Amino acid sequence: MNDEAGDSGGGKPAPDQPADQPQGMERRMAHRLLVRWRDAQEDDEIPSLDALFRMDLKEMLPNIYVLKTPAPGEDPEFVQVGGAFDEEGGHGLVGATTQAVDDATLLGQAMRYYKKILGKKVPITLGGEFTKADGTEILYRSIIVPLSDDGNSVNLLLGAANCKVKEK
Amino acid sequence: MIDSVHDDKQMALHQARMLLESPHHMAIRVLQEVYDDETDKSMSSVVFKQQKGDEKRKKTAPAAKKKKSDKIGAGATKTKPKKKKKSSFTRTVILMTLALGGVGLGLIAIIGALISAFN
Repeated sequence: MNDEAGDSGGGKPAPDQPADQPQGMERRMAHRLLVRWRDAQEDDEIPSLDALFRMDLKEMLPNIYVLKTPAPGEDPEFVQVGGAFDEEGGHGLVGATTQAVDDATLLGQAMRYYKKILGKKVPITLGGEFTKADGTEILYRSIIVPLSDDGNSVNLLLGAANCKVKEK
Repeated sequence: MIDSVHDDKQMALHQARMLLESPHHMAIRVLQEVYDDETDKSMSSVVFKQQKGDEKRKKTAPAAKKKKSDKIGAGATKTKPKKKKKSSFTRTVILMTLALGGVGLGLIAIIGALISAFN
């Protein structure tokens, strides 16, 4: 889990945060991924997966998953799942559909709004809280960005999420 | 054109300011949409609106406003003395008329009194 999820974005760095790390909003993974997605854009077109991966995503890779856009009426299929989602099945989910993921997990929460991205064709960020099956209350932040091979029709969705246990 | 959707106002505003700094965007507007479960309706409102150059305009605007207000002030001071001058002039004319009238009446009264004394 990553404690970025609980960052209020007020600009105050966490006490244990190195001075050269981005602070406040810049520290949020959703923000950083959005910046990379925009950098990968050409003429305001939706970037491709390759173009996005050419950007430096290294530190985010464990928190990233990729979904193949489904045919109408079908569920999207996992193409890539990062190590941060090992509890949900991690890499073993590749080839499975989103139906294989429990709602009460980080991945389940992070991808539940994928249809909105298909409709609007723009990145969407969403945060919130949920209770895991073991009763742990979790705060999370997530983002899903559209990807396209032709710059217009969305053929892949790339999502990222991180979370932390809610302090009581 | 919608750039992105965020559930966090802070994040949306941050993105807006960032986009405005980029050379690709001339103007940015952040819309807040509030959905009401009970009525199944959503309300939209503009929470941020900025155009490139607004900052510069905003910076120069107070000076221009000041200048304008200065002008108004100057106009007012110009107009007021004029009014004062006009009113004091009128007053003077009236006073002079009254004074002359008074002197005239006094002279007529004296002449009348002298005539009646000789008779």
